[in-house]
Amino acid sequence: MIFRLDGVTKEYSGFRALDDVSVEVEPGSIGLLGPNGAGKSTMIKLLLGLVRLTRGRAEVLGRDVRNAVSIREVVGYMPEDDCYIAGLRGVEIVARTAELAGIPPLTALRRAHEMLDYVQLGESRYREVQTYSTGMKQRIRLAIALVHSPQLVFLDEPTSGMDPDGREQMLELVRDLARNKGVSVVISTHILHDVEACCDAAMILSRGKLLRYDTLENLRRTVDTAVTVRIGGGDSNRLATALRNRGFSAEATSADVVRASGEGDLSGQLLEATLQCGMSLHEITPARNSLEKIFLQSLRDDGASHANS
Amino acid sequence: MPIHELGYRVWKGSTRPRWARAWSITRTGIALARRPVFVRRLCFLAIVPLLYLGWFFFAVGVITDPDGRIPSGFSQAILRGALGSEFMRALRDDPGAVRELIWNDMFLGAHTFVLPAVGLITLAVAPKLISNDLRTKAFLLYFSKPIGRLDYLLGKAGILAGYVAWFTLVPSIGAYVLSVLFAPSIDTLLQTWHIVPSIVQASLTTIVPVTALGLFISSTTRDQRVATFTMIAILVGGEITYWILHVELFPGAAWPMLLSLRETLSNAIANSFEAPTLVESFTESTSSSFSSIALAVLTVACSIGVWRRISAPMNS
Repeated sequence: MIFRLDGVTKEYSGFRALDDVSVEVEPGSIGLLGPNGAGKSTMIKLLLGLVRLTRGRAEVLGRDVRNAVSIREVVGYMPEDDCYIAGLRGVEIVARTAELAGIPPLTALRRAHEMLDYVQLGESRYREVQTYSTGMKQRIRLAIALVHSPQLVFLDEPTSGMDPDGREQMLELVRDLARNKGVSVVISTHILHDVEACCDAAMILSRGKLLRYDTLENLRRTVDTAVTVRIGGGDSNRLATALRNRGFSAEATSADVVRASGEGDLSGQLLEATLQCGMSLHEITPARNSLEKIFLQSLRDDGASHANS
Repeated sequence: MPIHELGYRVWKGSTRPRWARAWSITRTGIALARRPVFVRRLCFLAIVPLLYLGWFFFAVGVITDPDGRIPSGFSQAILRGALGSEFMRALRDDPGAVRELIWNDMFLGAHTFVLPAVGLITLAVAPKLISNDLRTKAFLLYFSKPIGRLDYLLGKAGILAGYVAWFTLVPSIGAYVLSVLFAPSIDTLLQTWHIVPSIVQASLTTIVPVTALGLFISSTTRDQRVATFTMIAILVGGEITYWILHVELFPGAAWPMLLSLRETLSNAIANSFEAPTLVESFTESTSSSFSSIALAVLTVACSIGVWRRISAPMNS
């Protein structure tokens, strides 16, 4: 378990940023998804011990969040904001932040060079950070987050503002960290592709509540039960009509393919309908839902329940 | 890939104590602050008191040496000009007794006369200390590492305190050490050792409130220019207002002194040197305590203010 929240509520002068959130998160790479104001940043700040809990209990790597300094010994944070220490060059800023983590100065300097090589900023290490491009600033923030060898790293919008090439390089670094280096990664992002590209699991937050947390594989299965059917020996429109008559939603997407979904025994009814229409069933494929669909469905469900309450 | 690239390696060493992390902030800040040529030149000028104090103490040492002679010529002329004929006679009659008075006054004077330079270095160093971190959101980098707000505050305070100490504590201690080293006899050390705690106390009287005020003003804005103008308004505007009130409108009243940080510090510094003084204008005993209390209140208020300000960005 990398972190655990137990009935966590955080209020800012009356506004509830996190509302009774309980979750246990396993090691790996986790995507933290949610619209603006969902409570993603608050959750990260809370787990870093930067803000205090209003109610509940939270632990990161077995350490209570009230012991913030102890947590930050083993956790790294890459902020979303463009932040730097004015006047320092690339290698200086990484070395100084390593010293802040308690690494002796000479070791910190050596480690800063290693980290800058790792994030592919080796050639710009002696430039002042304020002259870096957006992508370079993102990468140096990753180097800063990693310089003290954290077991868990929070990345807040790691690919925001990057060009496609830089974005792919950043995702490759994140994948490498999570899969080869044994560092657990929590990515807070709006870009669902990033989560699909490098995460094993996702948490979806909305209005301070945790809507879903599961592996991507499980999430893809839960939202939609649609199947795609390829048939032979008949008109796909006839099969679609037969399924609709049985209470399912169905549409012919081509001459021999029907997409069907609905509650109940869809597979059994599909077999019966195919035989009834005198067709042969060549293939049934469960629909593979995109993360975007899961995300939007989760928000719709939350919106509906919020309206009802 | 460069041949020296080692990739990502886990670091497993023993970490340094918390104070070393605050020191890292101080070290970085001092190095950054001394980049402008103006600051480096000002810091060079800060050692000037060493020269005049050194010469003066050497001259007094020669005069007050029981086996020595009153110097003649140029040195005597300068001493007479500085101290007056009456004092020179007292010096001839009982040289050892007046040594302590002279040293006391010289260090008191050095601490008082250096205050305008302290104001200048504060203006050069303090405005950007916290305002830059707020502007560039560097606090996110600091507080993503295992340091607390107190470490950050102490680290930042160390920068300004270091520079102010370079103008107050370092020249005085340097002058004292040189004077003792070059003194004709060990009696000098025995008669004057108690001045060292006075020097430290006088320096702290300047360093602590100036640091607290500088950090507080810097923390009130994201724009260092605004912080600079605010400091100028407080230091220069306060001084002008003080002179108008003190000289023109309320002569003799103690309270206008509160408008002038320089005057308040001067009076409080006089508290540190408790021995009788030769120069009456250095001390006004009633206003010394009043000044010390005012500076204590200022320090506490500014410390609370800066603490709240560095907590604020996290809560938004």
